[in-house]
Amino acid sequence: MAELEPPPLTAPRWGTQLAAIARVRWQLTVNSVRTTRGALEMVARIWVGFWFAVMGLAGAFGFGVGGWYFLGHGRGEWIAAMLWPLLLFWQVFPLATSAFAEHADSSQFLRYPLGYRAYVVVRVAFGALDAATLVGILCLLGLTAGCAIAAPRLAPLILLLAIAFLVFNLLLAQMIFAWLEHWLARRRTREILSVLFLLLVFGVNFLRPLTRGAAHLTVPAQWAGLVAAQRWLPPGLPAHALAAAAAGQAWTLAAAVVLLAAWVGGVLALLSRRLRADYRGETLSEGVPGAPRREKKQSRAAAAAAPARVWSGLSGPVPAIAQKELRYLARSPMMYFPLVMPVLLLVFFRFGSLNGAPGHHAANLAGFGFPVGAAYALLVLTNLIFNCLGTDAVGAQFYYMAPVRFRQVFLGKNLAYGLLLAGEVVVIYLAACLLDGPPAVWLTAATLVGMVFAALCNFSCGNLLSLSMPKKIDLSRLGRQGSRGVSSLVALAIQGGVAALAGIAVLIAYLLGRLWLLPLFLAVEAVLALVAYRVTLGLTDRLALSSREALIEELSKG
Amino acid sequence: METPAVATSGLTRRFGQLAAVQDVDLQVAPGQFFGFLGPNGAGKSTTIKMLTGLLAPSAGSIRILGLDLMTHGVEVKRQIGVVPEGMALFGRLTGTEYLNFVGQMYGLDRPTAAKRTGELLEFMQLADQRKKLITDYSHGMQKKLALAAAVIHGPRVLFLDEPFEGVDAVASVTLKAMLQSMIARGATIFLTSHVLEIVERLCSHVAIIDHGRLVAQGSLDELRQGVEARAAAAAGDASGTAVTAGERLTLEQIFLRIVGGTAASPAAAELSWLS
Repeated sequence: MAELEPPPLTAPRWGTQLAAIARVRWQLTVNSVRTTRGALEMVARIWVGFWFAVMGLAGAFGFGVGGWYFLGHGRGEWIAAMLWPLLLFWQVFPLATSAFAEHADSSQFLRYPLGYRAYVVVRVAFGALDAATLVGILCLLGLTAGCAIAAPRLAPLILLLAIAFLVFNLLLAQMIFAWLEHWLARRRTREILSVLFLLLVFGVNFLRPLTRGAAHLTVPAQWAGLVAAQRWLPPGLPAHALAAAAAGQAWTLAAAVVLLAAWVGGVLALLSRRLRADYRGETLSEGVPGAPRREKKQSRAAAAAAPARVWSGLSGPVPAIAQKELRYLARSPMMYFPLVMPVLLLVFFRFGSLNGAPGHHAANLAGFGFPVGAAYALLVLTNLIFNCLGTDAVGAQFYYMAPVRFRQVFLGKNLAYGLLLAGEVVVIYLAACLLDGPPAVWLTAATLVGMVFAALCNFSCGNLLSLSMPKKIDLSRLGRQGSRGVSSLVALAIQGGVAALAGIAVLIAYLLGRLWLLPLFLAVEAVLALVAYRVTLGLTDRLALSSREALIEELSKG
Repeated sequence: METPAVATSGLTRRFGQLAAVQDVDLQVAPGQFFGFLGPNGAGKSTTIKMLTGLLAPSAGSIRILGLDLMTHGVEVKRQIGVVPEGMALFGRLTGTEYLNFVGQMYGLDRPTAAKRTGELLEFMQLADQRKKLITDYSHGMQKKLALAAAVIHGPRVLFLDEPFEGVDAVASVTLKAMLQSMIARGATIFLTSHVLEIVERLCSHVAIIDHGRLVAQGSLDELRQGVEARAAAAAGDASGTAVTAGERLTLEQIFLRIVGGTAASPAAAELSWLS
């Protein structure tokens, strides 16, 4: 053997590494269109991206006009009124859609000698590849342009503030995701969150009389303190700085800019604290308890053997799969926020309608909080329903090895989702009752029957789609699940179809002038949906066999 | 004649133009500890996937315990246990929950599944970890759990794809004892492993696949005799593992002679930069 020479080891430059990562991401994107499915995914992503771009451009126009008007008319402080909703959208939208998110997982690069700074950049850059960032950037561009037209001499400052606000939002979104993942990975935190969720639902009831009283107060007296305080918060600071610059108040301007930089630094520090733990290799784990638990006196074997009481009367594959599915979901951080969102939606409706005059359409909408919330709850679950093998990942192989038919597998999964949906609907009903009083009986009945109809339609299509377009889902992560463009579009089309069918029933009842007949019409549709469900369930066995190789390959991806 | 535990006829699997497995005729008698060997990429995993229903054959037939796998899939699966290559575990269940789940999937009632779960966790020395999520198990622990799941219903045929990979020496002894006791009770075990010493120690019969084709099958002694006869007939020995009088070939030597490999690759000498 030839004489050994030491390998030429040099510290890898982080710029080189970042370039390599960017290149490999690009190559992965290019390679992904080699298959038909990949090409369809790309088309779907472009399609979805196009609509978000349209939304962003509309926002950019609005922000541009608003910025131009406010700054041009000496009301720079009012720009905060646009930046606050933007911040809320930027932070809440990714959380609300975390079950549908399409981020890449940057932690896979930690196996390489990647420096910490490079890891942070990669993490933030990967996290920024989402719809909220696209819309946010376009809105900020519009705002910058509008303000620059109104006050050309302030253009550099406007650009600087817009960039600072952009960076703040990017870092804040990443920080929220990173810490939530960390907290929600622990059972105790999840339990606390569940209690908070219930408190929120019941607490809203006590807010109602307070807000009723507050509605009679004059706005300036009520909000003056808040308006002053918000000036020193990130969405208020750029507006405050611009107003100060326009008024020639140099010290106020400098203080606002420094404070905005401090906010960015503070968020970066909090994010960094979490990412450092990630970087060191800390994993999200149920197995990291705070303190060792005392063993109970019963024997280990007996303790290990004890089945959950609630399922103790049920045996066989279907309840076993349903129980397993519910256990999986209970351990999933990504499910918590989407499940809270329907109730928050009701709260938003309620507060939106408080300021509405009688007959105002927001006030009218509030009466339909229950059906709207219930429909949204189903929409939230479609991510699971339409890819119900995705959470099993490599474990999905087991269903092919076990002596079960796929119709049993899907029946078990649908049973679990049905139970989850029923629970969510009950919570939404309670919230709707607390906020607005009980909905009309016919509306309650129509909503419940309509949910059965819609759920059966979704289960029918979802089971088939789960087999034909599977995608691995990592339940321990908020977002970062990889693209599911085509199935998302198909799911959207199916929701449109379901809504249209339900709409026909509503239309008939409306034309007859007998809305109380609506539950009956929807019940007829539900029966038809049940027949369709049984037929599609029967198809799953054959489809599972014909698609097993592609399915296992897709779900076993690292 | 006794019905074979595993029998394939003309088993073929093509991926496009590539024939990963071609015309494989396997016969595994009931009660055999059967080793299925081959170099990397020879077609072992593809074969075992077809035998366990994870992959459809392009041609040929598979009969397990006399039942056609294509037409009696569920009946066959009820009687077999599998530890596949990727283990196919549900990472976000605890060990207890997983074994209970698998037991019920194989038709055990809840109390029986729970009882066996406790016993298996104790046996596999995983009882301390019963509340831990599987995703937090070490590789070896996952392997033991996968094996526990494969036997919870008392299968008559057990398919094991690299079962000892990543398992420590202590656990390995336990697992081997368990497998041998299963054989003693009449079960059949179909095993693939790259550790030829383990196969030699455990298996009574062996088949070797190379480039998708079955190149040898029989008891260890039959394979040994075949190789020795061929060596004697050949004038020279290119493999570098000549048979001398009175020498008893190891399985590794038999394997290398059959698949045409050598003990060391000359290419390794060229990697001068490798420290």
